[in-house]
Amino acid sequence: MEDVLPFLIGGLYGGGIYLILHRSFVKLIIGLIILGYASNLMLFTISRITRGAPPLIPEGATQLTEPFADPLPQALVLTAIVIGFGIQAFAIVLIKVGYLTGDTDDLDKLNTTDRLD
Amino acid sequence: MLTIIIIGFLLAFLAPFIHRIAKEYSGLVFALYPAATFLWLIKQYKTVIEYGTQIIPMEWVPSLGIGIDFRLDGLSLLFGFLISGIGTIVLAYAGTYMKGVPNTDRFYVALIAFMASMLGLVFSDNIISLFVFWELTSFTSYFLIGFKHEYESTRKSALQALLITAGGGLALLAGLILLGIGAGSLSLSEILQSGDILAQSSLFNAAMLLIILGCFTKSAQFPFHFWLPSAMAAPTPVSAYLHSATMVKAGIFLLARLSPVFNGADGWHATLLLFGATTMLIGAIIAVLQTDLKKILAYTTVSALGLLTMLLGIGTEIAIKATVIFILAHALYKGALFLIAGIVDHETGSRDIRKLGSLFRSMPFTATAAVLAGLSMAGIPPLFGFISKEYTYESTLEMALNSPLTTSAFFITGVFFTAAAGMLVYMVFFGRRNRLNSPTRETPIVMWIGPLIMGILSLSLGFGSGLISPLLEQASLAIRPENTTLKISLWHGINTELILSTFTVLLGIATFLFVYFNPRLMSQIEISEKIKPSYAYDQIMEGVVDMSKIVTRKVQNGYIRVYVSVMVATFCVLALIVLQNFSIPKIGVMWSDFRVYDIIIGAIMLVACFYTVVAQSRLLAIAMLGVVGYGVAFVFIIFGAPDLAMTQILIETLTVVLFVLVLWKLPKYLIFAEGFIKFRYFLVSALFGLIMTWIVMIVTQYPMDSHLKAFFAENSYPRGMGRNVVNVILVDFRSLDTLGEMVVLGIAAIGIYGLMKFNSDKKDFNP
Amino acid sequence: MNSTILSTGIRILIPLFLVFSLFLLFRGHNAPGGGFVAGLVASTGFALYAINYGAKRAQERFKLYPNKLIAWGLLLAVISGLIPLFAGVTFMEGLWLEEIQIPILGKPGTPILFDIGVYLLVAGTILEIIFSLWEE
Repeated sequence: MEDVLPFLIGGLYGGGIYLILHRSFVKLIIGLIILGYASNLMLFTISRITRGAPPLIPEGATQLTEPFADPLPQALVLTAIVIGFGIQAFAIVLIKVGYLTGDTDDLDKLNTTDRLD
Repeated sequence: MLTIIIIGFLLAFLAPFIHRIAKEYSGLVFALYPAATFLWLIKQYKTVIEYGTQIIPMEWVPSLGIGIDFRLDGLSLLFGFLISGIGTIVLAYAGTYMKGVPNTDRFYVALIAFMASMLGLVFSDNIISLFVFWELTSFTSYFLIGFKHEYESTRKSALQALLITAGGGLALLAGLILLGIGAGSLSLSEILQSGDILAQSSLFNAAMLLIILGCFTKSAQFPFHFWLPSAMAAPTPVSAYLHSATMVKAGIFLLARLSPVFNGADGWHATLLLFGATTMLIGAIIAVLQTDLKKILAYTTVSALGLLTMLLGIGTEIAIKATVIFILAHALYKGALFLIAGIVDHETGSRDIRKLGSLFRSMPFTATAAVLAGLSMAGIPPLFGFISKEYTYESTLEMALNSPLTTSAFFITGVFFTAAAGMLVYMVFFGRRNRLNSPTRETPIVMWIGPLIMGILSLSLGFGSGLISPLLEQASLAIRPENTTLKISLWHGINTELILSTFTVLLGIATFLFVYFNPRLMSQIEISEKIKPSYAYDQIMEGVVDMSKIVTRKVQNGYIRVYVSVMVATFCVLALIVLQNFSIPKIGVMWSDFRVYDIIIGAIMLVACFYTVVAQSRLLAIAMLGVVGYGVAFVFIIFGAPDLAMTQILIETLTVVLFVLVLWKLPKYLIFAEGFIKFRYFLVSALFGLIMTWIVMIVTQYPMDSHLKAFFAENSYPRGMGRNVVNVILVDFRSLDTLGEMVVLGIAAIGIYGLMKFNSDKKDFNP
Repeated sequence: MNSTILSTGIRILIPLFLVFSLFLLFRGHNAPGGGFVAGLVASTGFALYAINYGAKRAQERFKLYPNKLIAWGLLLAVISGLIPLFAGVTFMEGLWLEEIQIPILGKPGTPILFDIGVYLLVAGTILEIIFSLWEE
């Protein structure tokens, strides 16, 4: 998997950016979500991965013995996932409100919203 | 000392509540604070006279050498007395002056906060805390100038004052830091004693110029002087307090404070002398061309500040003595005159000296105070202003270089000062009859008592300055440690100074009479707008606004794809520059650890990602997105992260639910890019993807040394009491980070709530 | 969206989700689980209910106020950080009552309190999002 993951991450990044470049709101959000996956996976991968050894101290022991997965990136990614969701939800709500007020799905038509009517 | 300042800020915080209870008496209530400070300072003063300079240490950021140390010496005490003494008078006065004005509570908040910051500024012994208080005075001043914010001109003046003083503050910060580096300490006491180490430092000149720049902006020196007259938009008590007696003298204070360091440096004397004298002359000349009481006062204040700068620039023993005497004399008469101008304005509704006249009859006490202050300003014996003028003449006459030039500059200034004093006092309280119909009466005692006290002080200090000469002596010692004792006496015998002084007064009276009998003339002299520095300021401000509009239009064009393309392209270029130092990584190093399902999962995810990207229907895109998401969760499971996998699965489910909730109401994909544009997008994103792959490969090929991994493995159970190390990190070892993340989530939720709540009542949702 | 299967299922599911989420919350310190996951699970039950019956009804039926949940979550987390200050150690340092061992819940300590805060906040946030989007 160590050899597969970099390609997977690269593919996700490429797909995410490709979607963001489009003019549609919905594609923008989906692109953001894919970028989120890519970033989480990258953070997880570059701090080294260990197969099948969760950082759980077994009953009776007082500390972990090698091999075990590094718990720190896991803690980081865990919060990143939840926060990423918060941001996604915010973006999704923005789409909805943007659609309500702008009546358009086209990002290019929304580039003048900072002007007061 | 710190307690006093903290009490000040607390009081400022509580001011609205106190104001609500005390109502029109709140001015008097608040005045208790500076009054108490004044009494406390008297106690400290005795200690300083007996034992010399006192340092009160207090740690703040010890690792950076920043402390809230306080320094009690002659100079800081002189300013401390002015701040608390005049502060008492001004607050008591403001109580009546501001009666019936809306939002007075805000006024008190800013004024008391200013008072506390100003005290902090003069007593600081650490240049960083000094700077913090310095900036606080700029900010509170901004609020006070802009108090009548409903007028556009007021807002403009406040902003102008803030931009100039805070811009200067930036220069000052740089200068102070350089000074600190040069001296190897941020403590003022140590800087003052560093002597040659600092003088030989390469940073010395840069530090000096930056500090001078900062002080010039604060103390309204030419060419930054124009903010001070504009600042007269503030309520009069503020003008009296900030813009004559205290804040504008902060620059003078700092120049004086650092005089022991810079005295003797070539640039120091020349710069201060030149700019001080220029400011002094310009201020005095413009002052007599004004017809508004406050403008006259403002320009004479500019002139007085110029004079102080000039005296510090001369820097001889006698000049320093003249400086401290003039600081006191000026604060007394100018503060009083400002307050009197406020009374006149308050009672008659006008500040135009052409309209006012013979108010003496209706306001005898105010008039008496005005006469005393005016005589002191004109420098007529036996008032304190006269002594100050004698000292100034003595110092200009004693100069080694440029003595005639400087003396004549001061002579002209003195003449105009006398004339301005005449305009301020004679034309308002005596002279022609009042041309205003409004009936005038004497004001309540709290308003005229303050100016009268200051006037009487000006008079009595002229005769018996014995009481305060130790204070002034200490102050002059603080500015110039080699100074000798200071004896103030009214009569020096007949000498050049006295003769010059007499001529100054006579010529001043003549000038005044000329102005008095030709009132039309002054309003006819118009200074061309274009040569004023304020014109340059306006041009610069306009230029900045125009420039930022152009930049905004270019950079923030509103097209997300442009932003993203720029970011991605920049990233790619930078990454490629770095990556060319690494060889292309070898694929298949880890074949031993190879599992077939790895490839299968990876392939499924990539295919799903591909379909998400190219899908023509939103439903398919979301379904495929879900596949990618669950794939990520699977990766987490394989590599020993069950917590992550669980979270990912739940979040994935919720995301899909969310999309379904919102999306089925949204239109289908309507806009499709053309072939060529699509290809360009494809190139950009493919390049980005490739680079990311490359980076991950390179990073994972190097061994990683993680102390943290070992630390958490060892300590999680004994110290964190938990077997799930990830959870222990989240809630124990790094719980502060988690708390921060919780706050972010909460903010996102509140944002969503707000977006939906405030929008749902506007329009109906009709897909 | 009104499906009979969902509406009957939900009646049984909500308590199940809640109990499961509490289980995840308290075992989280020693096994996979914890406040984040537990909060997500707890909110999922109510989210399903809201989708079926509407947000308003869900809110009234269960007296759920996401704003309050978020506020309480943050408050608990901060309190758990402040308790150690009174015990004379630094902010957020974990404190445990070593002698006491409550069955199922484990040892009481400030990190557990903190995790409960996370739980409430996450649940509140998710519900806030769902309710906001489903309000009309």
